[in-house]
Amino acid sequence: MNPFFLILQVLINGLLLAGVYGVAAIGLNLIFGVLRVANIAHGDFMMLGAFIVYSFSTIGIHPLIGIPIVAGVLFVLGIITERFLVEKVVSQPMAYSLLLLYAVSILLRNAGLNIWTSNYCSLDVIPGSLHIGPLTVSEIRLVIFMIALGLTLVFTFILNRTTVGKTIRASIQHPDLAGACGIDVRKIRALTFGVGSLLAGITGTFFIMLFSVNPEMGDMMILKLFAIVIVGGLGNYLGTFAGALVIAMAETLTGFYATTQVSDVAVFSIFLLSLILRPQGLLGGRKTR
Amino acid sequence: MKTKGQLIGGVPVLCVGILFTFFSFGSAGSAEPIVLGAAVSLTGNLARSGLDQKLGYELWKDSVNAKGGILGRRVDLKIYDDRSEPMTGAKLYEKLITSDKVDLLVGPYGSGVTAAVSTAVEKHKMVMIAPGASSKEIWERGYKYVFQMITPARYQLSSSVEIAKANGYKTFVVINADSAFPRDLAKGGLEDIKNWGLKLLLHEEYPEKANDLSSLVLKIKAAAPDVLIAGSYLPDSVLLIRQAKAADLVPKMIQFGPVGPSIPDFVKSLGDLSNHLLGVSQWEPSVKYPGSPEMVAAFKKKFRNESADYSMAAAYSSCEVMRMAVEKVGGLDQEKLRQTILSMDVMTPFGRFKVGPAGDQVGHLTVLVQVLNGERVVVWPAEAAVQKIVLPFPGWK
Repeated sequence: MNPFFLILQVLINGLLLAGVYGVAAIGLNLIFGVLRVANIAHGDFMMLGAFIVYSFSTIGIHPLIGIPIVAGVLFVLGIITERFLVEKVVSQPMAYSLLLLYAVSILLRNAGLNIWTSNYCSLDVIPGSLHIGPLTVSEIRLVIFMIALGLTLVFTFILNRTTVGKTIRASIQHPDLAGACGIDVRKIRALTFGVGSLLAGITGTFFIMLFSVNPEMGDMMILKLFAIVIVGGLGNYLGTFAGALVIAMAETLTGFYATTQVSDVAVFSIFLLSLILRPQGLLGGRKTR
Repeated sequence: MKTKGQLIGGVPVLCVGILFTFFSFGSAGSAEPIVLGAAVSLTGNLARSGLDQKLGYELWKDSVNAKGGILGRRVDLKIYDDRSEPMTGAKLYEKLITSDKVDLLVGPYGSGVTAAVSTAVEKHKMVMIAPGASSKEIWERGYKYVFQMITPARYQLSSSVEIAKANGYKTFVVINADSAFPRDLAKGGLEDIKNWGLKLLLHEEYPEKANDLSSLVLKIKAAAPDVLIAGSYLPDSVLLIRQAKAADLVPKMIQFGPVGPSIPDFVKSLGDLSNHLLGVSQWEPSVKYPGSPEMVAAFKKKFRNESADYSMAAAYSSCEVMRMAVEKVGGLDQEKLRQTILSMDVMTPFGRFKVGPAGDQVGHLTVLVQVLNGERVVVWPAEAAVQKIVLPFPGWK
């Protein structure tokens, strides 16, 4: 293969991966923005999404049809988690919510291991690939990228153009003032956690269609997701996509030009560098609080 | 120098001996039984294969007793559970030797437990044939009484490299997960490639828990080898194949180690994508080594609903080697048994048995397994093959 096409191919792979990472990371960032909690159970919500869709497929429901079902289930689960657990500690110092969500993470992971065992599972949904000249693009990756892109546009629209979106943004920017203006900040918090979990769940379904995963998948993903959010800027949901792109590209490029073993080194070096050089995030939004 | 008293004391013993011989004449059952001892993992993380091994020992006991035992004596088993713990295993072998005073020893399951156990066994100068250890380190410590039954990781890919060469394939890419067993396996493959004068285009390790191998796949595609060899576990094998298909990577031969096409779950999770992929296996129920079909038939009869596995066959056959050695020696003298086993070159239901001077297995060959029409089929060596190997790899469906 010609070196030019080769690098193009690597970049395409990175871009497609970025789409997947982006959806989960934006959920994580939204939750952080509104609730000011670091949801370390986010990866485990992803796992739930992955394995619910897997269970559905064993009873004959097509994984792509399973995605909206997962979205619904995870949305409700997210709201319940916020209302009955996270809400109790949301005004406490961060250590409280961190410990609480760590407990949620352990609970979900072990429930997952009990239900689905520690075996690795994957779903082969659309096995074909497109050939564009010398380039090969896996169809499922393309479909998933489209869904991810669609979701992003929808959420950008909701956040920027609708009343709910405006109340969410108001709650991110100044929760007390938002409350004083008559916004039910409690409701917004629950809603945001629900939406964040929904996005995690959907990313989980992507994961099981692209890779092979077991109920401990949250473990490896959560750190990477935080790296994306930090690189992109905490509370800056558009920056999150820039972060996802940077991290996914770093992973793919080092995988190709060095080895897959050093991919994580590259990812977390970028994370550290961005903490030192641009703690406000890539897109350089003003610091919130 | 014997005194008069000792001679007189010997007389009643002699009488009892004659009497005993007289009553037990002609029947194997009533002589003192030969006790074969082992501890295997019946609980803990190695339980599955440990249990298979126990079934092998039990099956062998029945078959040898049905044929009249060894040296006319019935055979009994003494089997303990080592809970998959090396230290427990070592203690249990001490107990087998010193308090149960078993006559013969066969090994536990797993390289870790075998390493611990072998130290105890060596100390007491008891011969042990180990059917559950593929590590080569155990046989690099100068021990004299421990013998390996299965092909060590170093040689597991040898037949694959040989087949590739025989088909005129010259360029190789070797990849492996970065943990102990896949690394040993790949190292062996790399040495073979070098020794056979073939060309290695790329060797790369990847993290055992990698969730995305697409960059690696692309790199392999750019190298365009004739043969791709992967030392992997199950999840990464599945991932590799799916991403190879997505990237349209089509080498002439795709070879895995013992994890991959050789295990049923691989074929189950990949479906049609697993067709024509190759794996290696220590043993398969369909091989036609002397005594193997009979062993499989007896296994099916005795343990319904269980499928015969290589651990079972290796365990069964390690007892067979022990039986041959005892019959050749005509007794249970451990030193003579050791010498005999060192010089043996025999076929068992598990395949060839021949050890090197250190006791490591050098004669046993892995069989090549290929997935053909969704079935795992033995394709090499000729005496074990059920179907002919299909090469070159015809591409993804």
